Parts: sequence; C-alpha cells; structure tokens
Amino acid sequence: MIFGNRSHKGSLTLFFLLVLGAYSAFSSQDYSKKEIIENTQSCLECHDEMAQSLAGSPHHLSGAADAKNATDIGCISCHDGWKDHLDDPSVETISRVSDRDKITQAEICARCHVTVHQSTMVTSDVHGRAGLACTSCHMVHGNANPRLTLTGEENFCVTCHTEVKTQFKLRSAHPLGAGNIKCISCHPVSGISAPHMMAGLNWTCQECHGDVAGPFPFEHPVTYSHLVEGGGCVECHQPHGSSNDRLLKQPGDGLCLQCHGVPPKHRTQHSGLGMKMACVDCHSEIHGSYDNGKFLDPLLGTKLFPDCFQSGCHIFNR
Amino acid sequence: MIKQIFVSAIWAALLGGSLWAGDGAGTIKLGYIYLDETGNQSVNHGTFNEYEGAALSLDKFSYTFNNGMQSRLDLKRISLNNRDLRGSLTKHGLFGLEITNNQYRRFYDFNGNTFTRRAQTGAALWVKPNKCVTVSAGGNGIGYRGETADLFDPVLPTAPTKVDYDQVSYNGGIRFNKNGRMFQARYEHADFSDNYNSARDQSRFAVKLDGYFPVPNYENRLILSGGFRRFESEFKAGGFGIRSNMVWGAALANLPYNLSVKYSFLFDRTASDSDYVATDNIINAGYVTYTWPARAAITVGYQHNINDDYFDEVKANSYYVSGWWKPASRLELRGEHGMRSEEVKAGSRLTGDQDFGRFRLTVKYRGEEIKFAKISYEGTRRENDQIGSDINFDRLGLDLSADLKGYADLSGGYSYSTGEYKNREENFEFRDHMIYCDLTAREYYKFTAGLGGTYYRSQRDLDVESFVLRFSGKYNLDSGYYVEARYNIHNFDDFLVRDRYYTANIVEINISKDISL
Repeated sequence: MIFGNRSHKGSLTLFFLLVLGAYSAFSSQDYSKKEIIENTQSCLECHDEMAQSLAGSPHHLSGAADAKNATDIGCISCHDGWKDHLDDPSVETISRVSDRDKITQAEICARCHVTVHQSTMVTSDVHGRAGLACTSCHMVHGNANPRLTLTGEENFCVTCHTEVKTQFKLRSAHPLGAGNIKCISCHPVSGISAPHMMAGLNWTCQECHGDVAGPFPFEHPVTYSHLVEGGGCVECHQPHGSSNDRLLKQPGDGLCLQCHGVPPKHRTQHSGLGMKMACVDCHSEIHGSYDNGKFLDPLLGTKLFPDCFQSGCHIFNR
Repeated sequence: MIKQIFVSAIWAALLGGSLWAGDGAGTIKLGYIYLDETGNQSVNHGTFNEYEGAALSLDKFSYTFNNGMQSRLDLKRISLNNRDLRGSLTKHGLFGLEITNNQYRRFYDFNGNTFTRRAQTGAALWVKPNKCVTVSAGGNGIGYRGETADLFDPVLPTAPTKVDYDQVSYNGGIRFNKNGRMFQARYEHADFSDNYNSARDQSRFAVKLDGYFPVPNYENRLILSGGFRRFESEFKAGGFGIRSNMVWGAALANLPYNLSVKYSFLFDRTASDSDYVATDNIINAGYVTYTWPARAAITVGYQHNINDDYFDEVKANSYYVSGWWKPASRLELRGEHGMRSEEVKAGSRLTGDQDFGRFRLTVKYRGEEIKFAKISYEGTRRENDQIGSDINFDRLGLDLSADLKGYADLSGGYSYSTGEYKNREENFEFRDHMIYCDLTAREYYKFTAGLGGTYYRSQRDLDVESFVLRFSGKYNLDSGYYVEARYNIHNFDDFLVRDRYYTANIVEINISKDISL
C-alpha cells in the first residue's frame, strides 16, 4: 500500500527525479577502453607478472592476455606517471598507490569506487580521522580475498580492533563467534554520517530486533538517540558483549538507577518490598509500551500482584 | 525449503562448472557432533548453537568460470536445526548476487526448554549496465519465535513470554559514478508483523540520497559531499508513527603545506504523532589535520550540537584531538582523546547536564616473526552531577600475533578492565580479566594440531569464572581426504547465584575432502 500514501508518493517522485537528473549528468569516461588496453599491454611487456597477480580479481586487466574476464581496468587506471614511465622506465617515474598519502589514495580509488564509504573516509569517518588510508585495509595485487581486504577473515576488522575481539568473548555477546553476524552486519562501511558508521536513528539494532523498534504509543525516551533524553540502545546495552546478561552495561536495578531514583514509597510502604524486587518485575515493557506510560506489565494486575489494584491502594494509571 | 534451495545452488554451481568449465576449489565436510552438557544452559552463550548430530559443510568453495564469472559458497553446518549459509555469484564489473541464510538459538532457562530461534534469509543483487551506473536491489526476512524468560531472575515465578514475529524488508537503489563524482539514491522498506498481536504490526521506509563531488578544476583541493534522508515508521493499525528528515553535508579542503580542513553539518528533524516527541538536531563539526608525510599526523576537531524539542534544549560542545607517529618503520603510536559537555539550556531532562570523555593510547609493533604486538589503554568517563551518576571504565589490553619460526602460528592477548557505575542509590563495580590464546602448528607428518583457550574472571560485584579450552587436529589422508577433530570444553560458574553453572564437552569429527574442479 505504499503507493497509496501521499507522503510516500512525494518521496518516490523526488527519488526518481533525482535519479533521472544524475543519469544525465554522468555521461563520459576517463580513458577509452582502447587506450587502456594499448597502454596496459605496453606495461605488461616488462611487468607481465602483474597481470597474473590480478587475474580473477575485480581488477583483472583489460590488456592482459586472458582478457575475457576483464573489467575496464588497466595499469594506467591507478598508476599515475605512466606516460613518463614509458619514456623513462625508472622507479622514480611511476607511482605506487600505497606510497601516496591517504587523500591521494582516496582520490585514485575514487576514480571507480565512489561510494559513501569512500566519501566519508576523507570527511567524517573515524578511520580517516585516525590517518588510515585505503591500503591500510585493502590490497589490490595478489589478493583473492572478498573485498580485497588484507586477510581473508570474515571479520577482518578485529585484526586491528582487538579489544572488540575480546568483548565478543564475554559472558553475553552477539553471535559473531557462531558466524550468525559479521562486523559489517552492524557497521556497514557504506553507511554515512552517523558516528562509528552506524546506520543512524537506531536503525542498526532494529534491523534485527524489530520487536523493540517502536514507535510505541508510550515511548521510553532513552531508547531513541535523537531525543534530548536519549542515548539509544547503547545507553543500556553493550552491543559487542558484556559481563552481564542480555548485553546490559550493569545488572539488576543499578542500570535503571543511573537515571531514575527509587520513589520513597517503593521502599517504605511494603516493608522494603521494593528493595527485594527488580524494577523490571513490574516495569517489564521498558523499551516502550503499547499500554501505559509507566511501562508496567499490562497483565500485572492478574499475573503478579492482584491485590495491588483490587485492594484499591493503586490505580492502574496510564 | 531453504535448505533445498541451497542444495540446489550447490548442484547448480557444480553443474555449471561442468558445462562451462573453469577452475574451482573448496572443502566438503561431513561430520558428527557429540555434546555432553550439564548445568544451566542459559548462561553460556558460546554453546547456544551447538547441536548433537550430523552436519554437512561446504567451506570456502570458489569457482571461476571461463567467462570470468565467479561463484563462492560457504555453507556451514547444514543440519536439521542449524545452518549458516552464504553464496554469491559475481561477474566483476557486471553483476553480483549474494544470498545468505542462517539460524541462531538462544536459551533462557536452566533446562533449555525456554528458547528463541532467529532465522534470517537475505538476498542482494547489483548490476552495472555500464561503467558509471550501478543498480542494486535486495531483500531480507527475519523470523523470531519461541519463548523468553523475564529480564532478571524474578522473585515470583512467571510464565515465559511467547514471541513470534516476522520482519520482511526490501530495498532498491541506483548509483552513478563518474570522474570521481558520485550520486546515489536508495529506497528501503520494512514490514514488521507480530503474529500474536496484530496491533503491533508496523511499516517503515527510508529514502536516502547521497552525493560526492570533487569541485571541477580543483578536484585535488576541494571535495563536497552531502545527502538527504527521509524515514518513516508507523503502525498499520491507527497510523501512529514517527517521521524524520535529515540533511547532511561535508567539505574537505586540502591546503598547501600538508594541511587539510574538514567541515560537516547535519540537520535532523524528527517528530512523532504524539505531542511530546519532536526533536531537532543540528550538528556542526570541523577538523584540522597537519601531516608529516609517512611520519606523523595530528588532528584537532570541534563539534557543536543542538538538540531541541518542544520543551527542552540541550547544547553540547565536543573537542577532539588525535594523532599518530611512526618513529620507526615497524613501530606506530596512536592516541585519541575526545570530550563532550552537554548542558541543558532550556527546560529540563532526566539525566541533567552531562560530561563525557574517552581516550585511547596504542603502541603497535609490526614485524616478521612477531606479526604484531599491541598495547592499548583506553577509558571512558561520564558524569551526570545533577542525578549523582558517575561512570568510569578503563581497559588495558595486550595483543600478540607471532609466527614461531615456521613451526606454528600464535595469537593471544590479555585484557584487564575495570568499571565503576555510581549513582545515589547504589554502586556497581567490576574488575574483569580475560586471557585468550590460540596456537596452530604447521603440518608435521601429515598432521596439523591446534590448541587454544579463553579464560574469563569477573570480580567485585560479580563473581564469575568461565573458560573454554579448544583442541583440534587434522590428519591428511591420501587422495585429498582429511580427518578433522575438535574437542572443546566449556565451563561457567557464577559463585553468587547457585544455579548459574554449566559444563560442556563437545567433540566434533569431520571427514573432509578438498575438491578441485
């Protein structure tokens, strides 16, 4: 029914108009295929081993002997200075991408790979800010790994983020070790603008945990990171792993007490009953409630303490 | 059904290989897992997905057709209960198709009778009709069913909560690349269906537009990027929902003398149909970096946030400094420090003013026999004075990866972390030690052995000890066959709660064959 909604229609119209506009704006090519093939063949007269190092990879050379697998890529696509190098074949006249600074590397790779990953890497991404370049994670020659990462490990990120690797070994952890998720399941390197490459607006967690995604008629404000009160899911949970059950930052009521004081009557009216109970024994709908603004279990009156409401002491006030 | 699809995919790949010829390699495994466990099944996450019985795997199978098309299959532990399946078909520069399916179980009670199972199936396709254009589409389905227990151990016995929901999402997009410039548009849609309570059914969508434009004639000097997002999520019954519009932009200027300047902004307006959820976020951030090429760099940054809803306004100032230095070719030092101060300018909020800080220092050595050795020290601080909340977390980590003179590969590490969570009512403190180590020997007389383990100890307000010991062996038979065995021991003890203990012995034996087509 999405096409029956006026706001959806507007968004989709905008979507298609921009797509059409962009299609007309991107219309020419850097080097012609003929130019790439001819010059690559010149390179391979001396560097034929380089063709082999790229065979079968996404950078399979157009000028290589086995060119039927090739994409429109040649040596001159990445190695600047090739014209001088053809005249003067010394090491100084040709550039190696990995020797260039990170911004130049990004520019060279961006001749083909201009994704959001690429753009944020030189603007807002933490890796770019920390001085990492494209070749810090990717290697082009002699590499058969998916996405050309330096190692073939599925969770390649932990080769540097070793502290995260240990978090996944904690008592409660997301099932990275079991192979059910990968680093990029939550940290899509194509994601933009949100801190730590998260998809933003808590959408990362809700991709899998749709039951707590909301919206709820009665919101627990802390679950939304865009709110004044909020820090989002990570305000209470440690997403990689935790010493506590359910990835919680701390066990029991202490977590709630970080923001909420215990109302005095919870302590006194039942001879300290409140101290023996966990907050969520009654406030079970802590992610948000469909029923009441105190996030109480909607079946509380019949499930746990029928007398609370039937005695007239408490009114189940929404 | 899913399994049939994947078995068909294997046969299709193998048949395709014989029809078109090419090169392929991978490993087929057929094995059996013996599982002996005692104690509380809900406490040890590492064994949630261990099932006794037979399982079939096709590991890292890759096949390249003569026309350059490449297929990859990684089908792990296909059994009646378990699976982790990935497959892809790619023609570089033309198209790619990836299909995934996996299933995960989580226990909630002592006997393992209360559990949930999450199954996920997804597909993603991209096609490049020409060098400049990429069209993509995909879909994903998640099913989550079973019973969960209450969050903490309840004082009074309560019945498990039944859950049964599906979330189906799909997306489509198009991307244009040319001369270092990029524009992409993407549409994502998701439907959430609760099979116990249809009043919870929701529909969500997002439209995302992103652009990246090096300025003509100044491509190496000035790069602009920006984008827009529209997000909506609403109940199918009643239409109550939340809506968000976000625009963002960034500029990067590479100035002379190895100086670069970055600026980014973000404006986000999010509103719900209820009258107390509507917020503007305005973020401005700038960073200046000075680089000594291949030697060092330092970055300083500042960010200003305004978070404003109908009643309250919070402003935040953040400061950032980071740097790296390579005093020698194999040695690298990195440091990072960020601090953020949030102040409630109008109205109030539950957590009041807040000061937040984090830091990280890392020294890393990269060598040949010692592949890398790393020492890192990191910490976070958070103070909310008005509610008396204070958080301190520190961690010291040591990590090592080494090649033991060609005889074995060694990786290991030690992590020491402390945390203090204080508030006016109570404190929570923990002190964790973790040691992990894996040693894999090179093949010796057709035999390869490995051993490893993880030891974890948490003290102070927690009193938990757990360890995992891993032993593995692989014997190379003739004709490309292998016998592989692993023996894992899991142990968990919570010394504060009597029934939170668990021990498991897991033996897995596989007959494997490397296949080459």
